[in-house]
Amino acid sequence: MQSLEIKASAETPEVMFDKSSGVLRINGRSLPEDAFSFYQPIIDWTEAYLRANPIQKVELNFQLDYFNSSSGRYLLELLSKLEIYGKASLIKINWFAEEDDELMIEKGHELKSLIKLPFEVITTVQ
Amino acid sequence: MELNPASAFRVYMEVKDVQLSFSYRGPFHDGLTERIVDISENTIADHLGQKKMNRKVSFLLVECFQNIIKHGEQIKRDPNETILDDGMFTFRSEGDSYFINSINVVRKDQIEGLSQTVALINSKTREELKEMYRAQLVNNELSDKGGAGLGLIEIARKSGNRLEVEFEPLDGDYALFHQQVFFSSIDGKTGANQIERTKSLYKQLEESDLMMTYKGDFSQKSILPLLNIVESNIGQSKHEAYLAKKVGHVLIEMLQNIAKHAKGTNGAKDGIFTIGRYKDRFFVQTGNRVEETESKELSTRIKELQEMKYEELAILHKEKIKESIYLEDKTRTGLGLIQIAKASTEVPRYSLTPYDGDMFYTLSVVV
Repeated sequence: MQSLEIKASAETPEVMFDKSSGVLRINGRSLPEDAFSFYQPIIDWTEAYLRANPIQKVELNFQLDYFNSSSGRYLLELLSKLEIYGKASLIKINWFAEEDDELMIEKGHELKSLIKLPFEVITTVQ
Repeated sequence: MELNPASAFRVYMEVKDVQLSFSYRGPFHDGLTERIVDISENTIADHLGQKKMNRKVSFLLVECFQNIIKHGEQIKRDPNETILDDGMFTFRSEGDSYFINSINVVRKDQIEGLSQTVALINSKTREELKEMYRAQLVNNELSDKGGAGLGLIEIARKSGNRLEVEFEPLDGDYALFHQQVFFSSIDGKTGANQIERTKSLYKQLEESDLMMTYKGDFSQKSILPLLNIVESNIGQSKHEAYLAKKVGHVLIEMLQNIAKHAKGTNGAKDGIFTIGRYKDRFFVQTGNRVEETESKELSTRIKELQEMKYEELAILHKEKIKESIYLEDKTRTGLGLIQIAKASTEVPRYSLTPYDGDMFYTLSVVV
């Protein structure tokens, strides 16, 4: 299994999943029309990784400027894979949002409320 | 000003036969130039076709737009108004023809000089214009703001058509400078003077405090430059810049809704989008054709959302996003509309108007 790296495009975020450190990162904007095609490989990779490394520490860092509603449902699916296949005590999710970006902060809190994993919404200064 | 949910329909009817119509009413700055070219290139590639034509149009857009930035003045049209008025930039693509109309503020003492320059340019042949351009470069006759008609000479050369201009005096020291540049992929074709039409559009935009209107294709490649313009350009103050980001979140859902659900005309997902100022906020309005059966379903859904308080919308959104993981048809989660309603500071409004056997659906929100 290789680390997962996807470069950012005008409508999709940069994805860096480092298999040795267990640090996963999703950065940028996520506005694809076809969110399924973009997110399914990421979700599959994550599931396979967690199955192969059940006691690995995993840190998932989100730093998104925008995401559309269809991306939102896949982000939740990605998180639910962590819930199913990971060990809660070894998982850490960080949701970074700029301090004046009310909606991204709110979206972070919403995702946090939907899963039972350590999840922190961290506001950053631009 | 009263928010009229059907105003997008009115604007749409004026431009319904045009493939692309984009109007922007300030603030003008360099960062916008590239975005405007993006909007144009994405759409006209399919119509004017050839790359060479596309490059010419892009060149003309850049020159015309930058002329406003270089030479335009800013004024307060209304002394009580805090926003500076720069005029309007608009372009339209109609089949093989392309119109760039602009309105910008000039000082009255510039009128004579500008009129003479334009008259001189219009009197020249293509060969003479080339010579004139060279002479200008060599003599280096630059004005204090740079340019000295070089831009205008280049516009005339590349468009292959005369420049249409008009001055409209305002109170005091200023006047509006109206300019039309016409280009066609058919050699020798001339375009009708649309300065009057542009004046009336400008008036309409001013009256409704609209900053931007777009009529055209709503595929993903066309949506992104629109989002970029809104996100980084519409805010004139810190408060507005903050709101612009929020508008961006709403806009992407509204525009992608058109892309997904609008009934296409000749294969294109065509519709209209406007953004304007409303009190100390922005309002966004979209309009598109939908089939009658779909319009009924939409109407029921929006009415339900209109009745809900913010907290209820938040709960509904949470439930829907949870459910959506298990949905077969993931394109119809209804999440977009709930997000739009959630972000709107006023109850979202909609209208449905019979249109050519279908319905024209508009949605308006305030952010």
